[in-house]
Amino acid sequence: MNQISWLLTTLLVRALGPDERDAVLGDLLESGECGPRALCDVFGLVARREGTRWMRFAPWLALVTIVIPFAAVLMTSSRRIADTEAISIWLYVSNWEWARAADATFLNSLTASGWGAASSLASLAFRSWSTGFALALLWRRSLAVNAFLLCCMLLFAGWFGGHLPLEFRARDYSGNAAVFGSTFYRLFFTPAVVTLACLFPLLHGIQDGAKEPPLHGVAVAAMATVMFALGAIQSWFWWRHRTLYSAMSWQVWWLAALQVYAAAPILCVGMHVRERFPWRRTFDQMTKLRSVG
Amino acid sequence: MLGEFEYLVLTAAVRLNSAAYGASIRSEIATLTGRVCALGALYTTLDRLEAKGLIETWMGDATPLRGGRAKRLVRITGKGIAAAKSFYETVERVSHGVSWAGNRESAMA
Repeated sequence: MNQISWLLTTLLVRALGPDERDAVLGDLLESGECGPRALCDVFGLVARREGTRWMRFAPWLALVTIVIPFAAVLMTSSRRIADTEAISIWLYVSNWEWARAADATFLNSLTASGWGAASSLASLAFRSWSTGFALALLWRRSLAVNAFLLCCMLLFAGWFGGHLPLEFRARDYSGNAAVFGSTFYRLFFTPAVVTLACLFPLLHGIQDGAKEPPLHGVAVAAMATVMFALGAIQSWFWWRHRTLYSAMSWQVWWLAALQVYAAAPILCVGMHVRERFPWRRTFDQMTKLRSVG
Repeated sequence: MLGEFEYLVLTAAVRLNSAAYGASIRSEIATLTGRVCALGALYTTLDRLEAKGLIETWMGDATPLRGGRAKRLVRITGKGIAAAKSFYETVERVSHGVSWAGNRESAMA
C-alpha cells in the first residue's frame, strides 16, 4: 500500500515545478511520510496550485480553444474511424477462406482496405500527437489539469451520453447491425482504437511539447491568432461551397468545425518546428547570399 | 494584515532561524499548536508571504537524509518582522479586557 501510494505521489508531484518537486519530496522523506498521507498532502498542494492558476484567464482560454474543441474532434474522428474499420475487419474475417488468397481481385480489395485503415489510423495518431504538442507548447502553466481533462473527455465523453452526429453513427445503420451485434466490435474495438491511435499519441505529444522551450507570450498570441484565422477562412470557403443544399443542417456546421480545428494544431506544430530546424537557417543564409549576388 | 496561519509560519521561521525550511517549519508548527500542518497549506502560504515580500526563499543543498533532495530554505525579511509585530500587537490590543484574555492573565499571574 505504501509503495503504491509513494509511486502515485512521485507521479503526482510532477505537476509541480522542478525545484518545488525536489523540496516537497525531500520534506516528505525527511518527515518519514511515504504512505497515503503523503499522497493526500501532495494532492492538496497540487490542487491548491492548480486552483490558483485557474483564477486567471489563460487556463480557461486553453480549455475553451483547445481542450473542448479538440476533444470533440478527436473523439468523433476516432470513433468514426473505429466504426468504419470494424466493419471492414468484420467483413474480411467473417468471409475469410484460404482459397480467396489466390484471388487477385480479393487481394487488391484487401490491400486497398489495409492501406485505407493504416492511413486513417496514422492520420488520427498524428492529429492526436500534434494536439498534445500544441497544448503543451501554448499553455504550459495549466497543462496538468487541461491534459487530464482532455484525456478524460476523449475516453469517457462517448460513453456518458456523448452522441455522435448521424453521419458518424455507422453502428446505428441497420445494414451494420451484424457487426455491432458482436460484443467485441460493440464494446472493445472502439476503446482499443481510441487508446492506441489517439490517447497514446496525445500523451506522447504532450510530453514532447513540454520538453520544448516555453514560448514567448507574443508567439503564443500569434499562433492562437493564426489558428483562429485559419479556422475562419476555411469555414468561409467551405460555407460558400456547401450552403446551397446543407446550410440548414447543424451537423454540417459541426463537421466544418471539426475540419478547421483538426488542421489548426498541425499548423501550430509546423510553425514551431520551422523556427527550430537547422535547414531554416541554411535557407535564410542561401537567400541572403542570393540577394547579395 | 497577516492571517493566523501566516503569522504561525513567520513565527516558526524566526524560531528556526537558519534551519527554517518546509519540513522543519511543519514540525515546529505541529509542536507549537498541536495541530497537523498540511503541506499544501504551508507551501501556498510560503508563496504568498514571498509575493508580499515578507520572506525570502531559496533552494539549499541536497542532503542524504532527504534522499539527496534540496531544501527550500526560508528567511524572514524586515518587512516580515514588522508585519508579524503589527499582527501580534493588534491581537494583544483587541484582546484586552475580554474574558479569555483575562483568564489567561490571571492564570499566568
